[in-house]
Order: sequence, then structure tokens, then C-alpha cells
Amino acid sequence: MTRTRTQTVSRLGHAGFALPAVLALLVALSLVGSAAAILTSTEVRVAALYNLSNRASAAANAGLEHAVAHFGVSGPDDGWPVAGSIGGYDYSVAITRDSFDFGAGQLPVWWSSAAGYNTDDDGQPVWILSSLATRGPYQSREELRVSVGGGTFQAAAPFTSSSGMKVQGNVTISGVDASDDDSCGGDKPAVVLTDPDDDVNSRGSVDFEGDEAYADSVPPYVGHDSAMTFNTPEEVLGLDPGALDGYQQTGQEFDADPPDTLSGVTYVTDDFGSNGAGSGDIDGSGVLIVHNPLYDPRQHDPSHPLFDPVVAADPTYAPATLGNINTGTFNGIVIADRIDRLTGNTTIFGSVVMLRRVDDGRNVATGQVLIQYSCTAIQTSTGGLGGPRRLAWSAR
Amino acid sequence: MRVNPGSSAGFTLIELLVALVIIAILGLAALNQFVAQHQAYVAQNDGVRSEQNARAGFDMLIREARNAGYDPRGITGAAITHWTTDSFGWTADLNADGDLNDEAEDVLYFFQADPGALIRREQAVDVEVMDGVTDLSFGYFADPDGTAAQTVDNIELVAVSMTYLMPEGTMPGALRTQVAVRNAIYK
Repeated sequence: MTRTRTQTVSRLGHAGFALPAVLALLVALSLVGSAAAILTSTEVRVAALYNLSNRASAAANAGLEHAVAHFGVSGPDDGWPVAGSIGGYDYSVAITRDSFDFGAGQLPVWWSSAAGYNTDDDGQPVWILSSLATRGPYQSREELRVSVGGGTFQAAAPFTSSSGMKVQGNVTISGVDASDDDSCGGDKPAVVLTDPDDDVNSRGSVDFEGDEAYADSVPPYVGHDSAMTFNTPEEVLGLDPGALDGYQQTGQEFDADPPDTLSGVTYVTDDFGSNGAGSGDIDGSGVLIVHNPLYDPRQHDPSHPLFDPVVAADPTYAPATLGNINTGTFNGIVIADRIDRLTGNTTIFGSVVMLRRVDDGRNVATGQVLIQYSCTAIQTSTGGLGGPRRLAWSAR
Repeated sequence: MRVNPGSSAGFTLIELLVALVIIAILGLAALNQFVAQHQAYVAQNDGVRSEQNARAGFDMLIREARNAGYDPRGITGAAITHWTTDSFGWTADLNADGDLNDEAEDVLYFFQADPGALIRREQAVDVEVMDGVTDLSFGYFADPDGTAAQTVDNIELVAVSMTYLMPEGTMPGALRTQVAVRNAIYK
């Protein structure tokens, strides 16, 4: 009996020793494996949160871009807040008028290129676009200060030229402000030449008028200002390089769908007038640009360090010519690489700028042409030009 | 005798010995496995921690740097103040109150070589944002085409790259990105 009992206990003890030991080891290994799996999933979750955070910022930025486009079309009064969704995020962009105390109390803020931020009503109102993107608990906020765009016309005369020029006939060029608008600083000289060595060659009954301070100049009312040197239309209009690229059209494109009258920005990259695209009629308003984007006046000027005789001889880089224009009344700004010529009964209220640096001896104007400075025409034509102006950006 | 055959006692002894040997072998194998797993766990834990630490520090630098030069009053002169290969500093009027004296409005990030670290300096107070940094470099560009900025006014893009230590036996970590200094672009 005793032996039998001993045998039974021994077998039971053996079976109960191995199984729990192996099970315990398996449990220990499982715990280690689980810990590694949890850690890995934590890392994935951290990366996912980082991704969500970055996407929230991108969505807030997308909201700002949407709002800037809306501001450019509708201004600050209609259609706000701007809302939408992108990549699973909802964004909403509110607009508020910026105000600050510059020392005269809390007043609305304005911005101009000359005065910068101010509360003196100088320039355009400053608006704050505040974009909030959200997706569940994730959110991002960005702010952009903007103002209504608009270049700042850099020239200050009815006719500004980077080269000497020839005028003949009953041409009148007047710096007397036709709009009598004091915001442009009063009357101007009739002609400003950017090179102090250049001159105006006038023949016939050419009449120059303008700011009396220039009455004793030779010729009268002709001034020189080397600070006003322009190589591109954007420089003339105080815009960033390339800001007008979207307006460019070839002469062929213009002729395919010519407007009844010019308005807004008309930017033709070939010759324009009865000798090129369009007609001899300049009726309309806005900004008329006749400019070959490949033309750099400096490369055609033997006295300039950038002069390149190969480029100067290559028609690909040749200036675009405005001419012949023989009728019509235009209110605004005319910018041309070269002018040959304004004639007939053509009238321009505003300002004309010629970019070429070398006088080719051709008449810029002949006949009964009137070119008269108009502050209002200039300001009207540059209003909103180039889209909203971005002033300052921040993210929280 | 019928109940307790003579072979039973020998079987019990052998069985016990064999079982002990098998268990010992299994135990050693399991212990090895456990040690290896634990080491992997520790290494991965360190790796993840280093990665997260690096990402957090880098992200902090990038997010702050994007506001460089923010000057919505035009009177503070907020701008990029340091632009060397191992430091980048700026001022920004973040709360638009017309001064640069508030939190995070005058910041410098720089690389400390020994011990390697990313340091953030604000109001003359240095805070170690991240340790284990082996290199931190900044590049300054005037446009997205990679034209090097010649003056501080030319800077429109800042390239940031950082390398940092990872657990022994793994590759060093590296993070690289570009920051568009928008307020410089808008000016």
C-alpha cells in the first residue's frame, strides 16, 4: 500500500512541475512581446498626432489663401467669414479691421508704401485675416494682415523717359494736374528724363506746361531725375517682379478678342497700335503696357555694365513699340518699351513712361497730341492692381 | 508486486532527471530570449524617446522661426538678428503691441558643441531644448532655387538640418527642413 501511494504521488508531482514552469515562461515572454507591441503603437500614435498637427497648420494656411483670394474679389464687407474644408479639416477665416494706439488713441490702422503703418488715413486700411482650422480636438490658427493692393505709381510727370526724346508738331505735354487732386502733390514738370545727360528735342509748336518751379528749365518744364529709373512695368507701378505676368498677352491673343475700349490692365508683349496688334485707337482707361518681357533696356545701352551686343542685336530681345496711335482718349497710365509714335488727335490723361534708354531719333509724338498729368486717372488705374497686399503673417 | 512493478522506481528517477534537464534547457533558452527582448525593449524605448525628443525640439524651433520678423506695427524693427551656420535668431512682435519685450519675441537658437545640445536663448536665459545633438546647421537662401542670401535682407528661406545621437548600435538620427520667412518675403 505504501509503495503504491508513493508511486502515485511521484507521478502527480512530476506532471505538476513541468507544466506550470513552461506556462510561466510563456506568460513572461508574452508580457515582453506585449510591451514591445504597445511601445511600437505608441510611436505610431505620436507620429500620427504630429502629422495631424502639421495638417492642421496646412489647412489653416489654405484657409488664409482662400480668404486672400476672396478679399481680392469681394473686399472686406461681403461673404465673411470665409469657410471651407480641406483634407478633412474645416477652416473658417474671420476678418477684422486692425486698430492700434500709435500715441493718439486706439485708431484704425492704415498702410502705405511711403508711410508704412499709420493711423493718419494714409494709404489703404489694414485688415486682419484670422484663420482657424479644426478637426476634432486638433486645431491651428494663422493670421495675415492685408490691405487692398495697388501699386504706387513711381513716376511723377505726364511723360517720363529713360532716354532722350524727340517731339514735333502741335504736341502739348502738360504737368498741370487735370484732376486738381492735391493727393498727388500738385503740378509736375511736363517731362522728366532719368538721365541727366539726355535732352528733349522739340520742333514745331510743341508746348510744355507744368509746375512753375520748372519754368526756367531748358527746355522749360523739363526736369531730370536719375532716381526715377525703370526697367520693367512692375518697377514703374511699384509692384513685385512678375506681379503683372498674369496679364500678359501676345499681340495675336489681343487681336483674337480685342475689347471695344481698353480697361483695367492691358499688357501686350508685342508691338501695339496701327503698326502692330490692335488699332490706332487708344480709347479707354486703366493701364496700357506694351513691353517685351525679354527686353531689358540696360542690355541695349552701351553705357551700361549690362550691355550685351549680342542680345541688343537679337530681335527676340527687342523692345515692343507703341505706335502709330492716331486717335482716342485714354485715362490712366501708358508704359511702353519704345514709342513711335503718338499722333493725330490722341489724348492721354494720366502719365506716359517710356523704358528705352537709347534715343533712336524717332518722334515720340507729333500732330495734335495732348498728354496731361491727372492724379485721379493715375490713382484710379492703379487701385487694386496686383491683388491684395500681404503685410505680416503669424502662426500660433 | 502487481501494483508496484520493479521498473517503476527506475522510471521515476530517469523521468525526473530528463524533466529537469529539459526544463533547464527550456529555462535557459527562455532566459536568453527574455534578456534579448528586454534589451530590445530598452533600446527601442531609448530610440523612441530620442526620436520624440528630437522631433519636439526641432518642431519647436521651426514653428517659432516661421514668425521671424513679424512686425505688424512697423515700429519695432523686428527682423532676423543672427544668421550664422550654427545659430539663428530673430525678433517678432507676436502680440502686436509695438515692442519686442514680451514672451518669445526675442529668440536665439544655437548649437552647443560640448556637450552637444540645441539651446534656446530668450532674454539672456539659455534653456537646453534637446541634448544628444551632434550637429545643427542653418543655410540662408534668397529664393527657392537655392540662391544663397548675401545680406540679411535677402533671406527668404532658412534651411535647418540637425543630427542627434540614437541608442548604441543604431544609426544616428537626422532631421532636415526649410522655413519660409514669410514676413521677410512680404516686406
